[in-house]
Amino acid sequence: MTTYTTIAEDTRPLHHPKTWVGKYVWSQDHKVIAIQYSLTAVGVGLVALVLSGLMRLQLAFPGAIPFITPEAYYQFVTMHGMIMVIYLLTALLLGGFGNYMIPLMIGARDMVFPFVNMLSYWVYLLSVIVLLASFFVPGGPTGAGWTLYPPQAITDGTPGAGWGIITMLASLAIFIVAFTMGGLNYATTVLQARTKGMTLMRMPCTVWGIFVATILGLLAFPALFVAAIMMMLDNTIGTSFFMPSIISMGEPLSHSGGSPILFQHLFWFFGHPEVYIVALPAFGIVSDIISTHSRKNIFGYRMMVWAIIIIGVLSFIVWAHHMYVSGMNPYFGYFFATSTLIIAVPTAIKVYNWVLTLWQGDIHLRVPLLFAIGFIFTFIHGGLTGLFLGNVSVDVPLSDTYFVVGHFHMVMGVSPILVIFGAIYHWYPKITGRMWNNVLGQLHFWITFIGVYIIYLPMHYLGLLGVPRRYYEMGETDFVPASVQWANEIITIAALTVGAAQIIFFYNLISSYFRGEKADPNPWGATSLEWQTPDTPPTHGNWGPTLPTVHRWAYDYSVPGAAQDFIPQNVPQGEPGADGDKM
Amino acid sequence: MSVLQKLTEKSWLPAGADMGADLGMTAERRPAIAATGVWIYIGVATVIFSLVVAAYILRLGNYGADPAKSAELAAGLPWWNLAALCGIPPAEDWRPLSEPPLLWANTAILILSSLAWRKARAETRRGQARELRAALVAGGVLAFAFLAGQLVVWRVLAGEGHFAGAGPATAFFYLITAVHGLHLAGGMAFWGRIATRAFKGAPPNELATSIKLCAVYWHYLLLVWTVMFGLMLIT
Repeated sequence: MTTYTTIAEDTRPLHHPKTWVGKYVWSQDHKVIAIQYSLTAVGVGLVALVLSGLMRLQLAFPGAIPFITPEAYYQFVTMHGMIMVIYLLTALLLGGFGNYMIPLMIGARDMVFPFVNMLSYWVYLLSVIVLLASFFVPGGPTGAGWTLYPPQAITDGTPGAGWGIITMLASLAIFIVAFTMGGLNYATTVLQARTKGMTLMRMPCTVWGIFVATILGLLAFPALFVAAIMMMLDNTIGTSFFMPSIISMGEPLSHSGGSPILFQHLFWFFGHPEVYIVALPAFGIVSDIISTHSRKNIFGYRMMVWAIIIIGVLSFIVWAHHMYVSGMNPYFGYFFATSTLIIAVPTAIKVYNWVLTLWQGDIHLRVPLLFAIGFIFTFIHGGLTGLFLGNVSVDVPLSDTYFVVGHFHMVMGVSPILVIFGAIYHWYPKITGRMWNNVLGQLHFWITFIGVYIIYLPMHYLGLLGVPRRYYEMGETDFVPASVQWANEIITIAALTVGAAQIIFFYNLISSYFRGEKADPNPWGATSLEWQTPDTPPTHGNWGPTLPTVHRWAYDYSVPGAAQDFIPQNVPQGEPGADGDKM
Repeated sequence: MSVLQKLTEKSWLPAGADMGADLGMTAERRPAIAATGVWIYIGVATVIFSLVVAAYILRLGNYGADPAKSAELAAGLPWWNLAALCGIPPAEDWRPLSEPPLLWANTAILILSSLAWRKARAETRRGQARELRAALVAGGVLAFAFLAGQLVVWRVLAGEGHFAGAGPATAFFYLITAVHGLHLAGGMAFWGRIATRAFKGAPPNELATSIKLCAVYWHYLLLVWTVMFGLMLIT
C-alpha cells in the first residue's frame, strides 16, 4: 500500500471550538449545522402544517372559522406551498441530511469549506425570518399562489400585493444565496474529499441522490433568482419585464409590453428540477434503507446510479409540462409531453429495483423499512397519475382540479416526507446514541400512512368530477354532486388526525433523546461508513486519529460464506471471515 | 481514469483499496478543492447570465403583435442588429439604448484589471513579492474604478430620463449591470483577503492558488461583460 499523509494523521485540531456558543451556535461542524438546518426546517414546516389544517377546516366547514376570509385562504395556500417545497423539503433533505451524511458516508472529517457551510445556515435562517415576517407586514403575506404568477402577484386586489410579495421575493433570493453556499460545499466535498478507496461507484445511493440533487439545485435555483429579482424590479421601480399593458381597477397601469409567460418559463425552469431536488435525495435514502433492512445488496446498483443521473439531466427539459394551459405553441406540447413520458423510464427502473431488492430478502419490518415501503406505494400512485397529467390532452381538462392537488401531494409531498421519517428513524441511533420507542414508531407509521391515503385518494375523484382547486368555497356549482361536501369533511378529519399524530413522532424523538435505551453503534448491521465511526454520536472530526480506508462497495449484505450478514466498507478484502467463496 | 470509466466501475467485484486511488482531504489537495469550488460557482453564474440573455432575447422579439408594424420596424434596422440578423422583428416598444461612451472606457478599465491579475499570477511564479503586491493593488483599484464607472453611467442615463421604467432595453441594462457588478463586488471580497495576506508578508508561492483562482474569476467576469455589452450594442 502506498503511504500518504492526510489531515487524518495531523492530530492538531482543525477548528475545534472551545466555548458552548462556538460549539453549538456559531458551529462549523457539519453535524451541528445539519441539526440547525433540520430544526429550523421542521419548525417552519410546522407553520405550514397548521396552515394546511386551517385550509382543510374552511373546505369542510365553509365559513365556520371567522378569520379565514377568502384573502386569508389564498395567503394560507401560498405560504403552505412555498414553505413546504422550499423551506422545509429542500432545506431538510439537502441542508439537513446532505450536511450530516455526506462527510460521514464518504469518509471525510467535515465539509471542504466549513466556514461557508456555517454561513449557509445563518443566511438560510435569515430567509426564514424574512419569510415569516411577511405574516406581520401591512396587508399580510402574499396570496398569489406558490407559483407567484405575474401580473396578478403584484397587482392590487391580490392579497399581499404590496409588502407581502416583496418580503416573499426577498426571502427567496436570500434562500438561494444560502443554498448556493451550501450546494458548493456538498458538490465539492463529494468530488474532492472522498477517503482513500471511496471511488464514485462505491458511494452509497444516498450520497449519489444528494449529490445529483445538489447539482440540479445549483443549476435550477438561478432561474428562480433571476425571476425573483426581475419581478421585484417590476414591482418596485416600474420596469416591465413580466408586466403587460393592463387595466387594473379601471385604471391603466404604467406597465407595457412585458411577458407573463416569460416568468412562467423561468419559474418552471427552476420549478420542475425542484421536484427532483426533493425526490433524488429521497430515492437515494430509500435505496439504502431498503437494502440495509432486507439484508440484500441493492438490485442493479449501477443502474440505480445511472437512473439518478439520467433523471437529473432529463428534469431540465420537461419544465413546460406545467404550462400546457398557458397558451403556448401546441408543438411545444408534443416535445414536453414526450420528454415527460421518457423520464418515467429511469424512474420506473428505480421502482422495479427497489421491489426486486425486497424480493427474497431477509426482510426485517422495522419502522424505517415500513416508511420506505410506504414510500414505494405513495410514489407509484403519484407517479402513475403523473402519466395522466403529462399528456397534453388529458391534462387540459384535469388542470386546475383537485386531481392535480392529489397528484403532486402524493408524489412530492407525502413520498419525500415518508422517506424523511424513515431516514430519521434509521439514523436516529447514530445521531443521538439512543434508540426510539418501537411501539410509538409503528403507531406513527400506520396512522400517517393510512391517513395520507384517506386524504389524497379521494382528491383524485374530486378532480375527475371537476372540483376546481384553489377555490375558497364551491358556491353555486350544479355539476358537482352533494357527496363532494362529505368527501371534503372526511378528508379534513383525516388531515387533522394525521397532523395531530405527528405529536407521537415528536414525543418519541424528544423522550427517547433523554430516556431512550443506549443504542448500539451499528444497530442495523449496516455497511456504510457512517455506522463505523469510533464514537456514537460521532464527535468533531468524525474519525478519531485516522481516516477509514474503503475496500468495497456499500452493499456487501449476506455475502455467501462470510462470518456476518454484512461486511462494512472499511473491512479489507480477504480479511479472515470477511469474504467467503466470493474470493 | 475517465469519467466514463469511473461511472462504469463494477464496484461489487473484489478489488484493493488502491482502486481509483481517490485520496482523502489532504493538505496538498487544498488547491484542487478550491478550484473545484470556483469552477462550480462559475457554472452557477453562467446559468444566471444565460437566463438573463434568454429573457433579453425573448423580450426583444415581437411575438404575436401586429406583423405589419413589426416588418416596418425590422426594415429600419442596420444589418448588424441582432433582430435583423436573426430575422426576428423587434417588439414595438423596444427602444434601443444609446450606450454612453463611458461604457467603452469602463470596458477598457475592466480589461486592464484582468491584465493586472494576469501579471499577479505571473509574479507568483517568479516569486517577486514586491511586483506581486503592485499588481494586486492595480487589479483591485481598477476593478473599483470599473464599478464606480458603472455607477456614473447609471447616473448619466437616469439624468437623461432613462430610468428603469423607460423601456425594456433600459431596464435590462440596469439589471445586467447590477448582476454583473454584484459578482465583481463579491470577487473584491476575495481580493481584499488576498491583498491583506500579501501585505502581511505571505510569500508569493503560498498565494499562488488563491491568485490563480481569482484571476480565473476575473477573466470570466470580463468574458461575461464582453458578451453582455456586445449584446446590448447590437440591439
